[in-house]
Amino acid sequence: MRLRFEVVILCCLVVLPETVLAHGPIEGIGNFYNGILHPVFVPAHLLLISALGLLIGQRGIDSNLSALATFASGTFIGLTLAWFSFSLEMQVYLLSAALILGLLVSLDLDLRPAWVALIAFFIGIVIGTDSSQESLSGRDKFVALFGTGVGLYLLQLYPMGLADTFNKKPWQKIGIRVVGSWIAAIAFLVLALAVSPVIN
Amino acid sequence: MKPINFLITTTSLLLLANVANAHEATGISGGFISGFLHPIFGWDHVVAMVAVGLWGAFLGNPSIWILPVVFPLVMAFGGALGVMGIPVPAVETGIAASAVVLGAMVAFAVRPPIWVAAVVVAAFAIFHGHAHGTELPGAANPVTYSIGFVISTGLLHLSGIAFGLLIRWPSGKIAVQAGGGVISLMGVGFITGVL
Repeated sequence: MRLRFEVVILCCLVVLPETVLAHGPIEGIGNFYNGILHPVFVPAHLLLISALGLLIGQRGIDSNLSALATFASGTFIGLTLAWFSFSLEMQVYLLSAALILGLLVSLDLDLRPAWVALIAFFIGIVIGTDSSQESLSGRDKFVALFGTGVGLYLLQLYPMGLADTFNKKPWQKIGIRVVGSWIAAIAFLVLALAVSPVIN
Repeated sequence: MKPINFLITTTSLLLLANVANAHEATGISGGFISGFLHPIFGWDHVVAMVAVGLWGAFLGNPSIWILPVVFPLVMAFGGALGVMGIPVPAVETGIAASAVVLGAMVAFAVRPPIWVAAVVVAAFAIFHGHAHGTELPGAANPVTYSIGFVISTGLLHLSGIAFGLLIRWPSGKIAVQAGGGVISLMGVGFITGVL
């Protein structure tokens, strides 16, 4: 009887554990939609994407269309690296980039479109590389990464459109700069935490 | 079991039972909520943040917007000091003093040059940031905690600015100055321990 009980417990322990997933995907919505939502559930990605969108929108979409193309190509390269499971500890890079972009937005510096395009390219690579889905493989992984690419692109369109639309009146311009300063402040704090000798 | 024992046991179980929270906030949401609520649950933070907005409104353009840009950036510096374990002396007194000084600036309608106002606000921002920063390492999610408390601080500034815009009208100006006076008195209450 006791042996039977132990066998049942052992079987339960073997059967019940689920895959360990880095960012806790939602069950039942499929790999593609989980991929789309991936940047939403990684706060550092969300922060950086918001900063990039604001940076492009603040300088006008019309004069920075090239940044949309370079971001897409950078994301493609990053996701390809993620496909081959090339992963680095990206948190510090993501936050450093968010800090710099947040400051650029809050200072409203005059940047040439070529610089904005170059920044968007590198941001795409960094976020794409950090979006690795190690728990998945084969077709599932491809679908999830494809979804992440779509999600990243859609996500940056919101702050970009917002910054472009609310860029006429002085209070609107200052509002965008205030949000930029918030992003820089958040990134700076978490960076301090990452390098803090007290914590590490 | 005797009926009386059963009754005692059942009553004890009913009295001891805790509330079951269906949507306990942990991880990302927990970090955001605790960060968002941290400035709001501290009266000393609330009145000082509102005073920043009020003073900005009194100073007019561009101060009305520059102060809320300067504050979070310097607050982040103070927060970083807290995270790194670098002590800042008399943090709580500094926070209370910020309410006294900023409230008094509004109450007496002081209009210094913009750089002076920015330096005053920035100096107090370090104390507020340090207080938030020391809580950061224990947060469920440090990034969302930071997002929460920075947004919360910004919204408190905004409420101060919204209130401060009443200065367009004579009676509104009196109301704003009275608000500044109340904030300053509350600061005195924080320092003396009355509040």
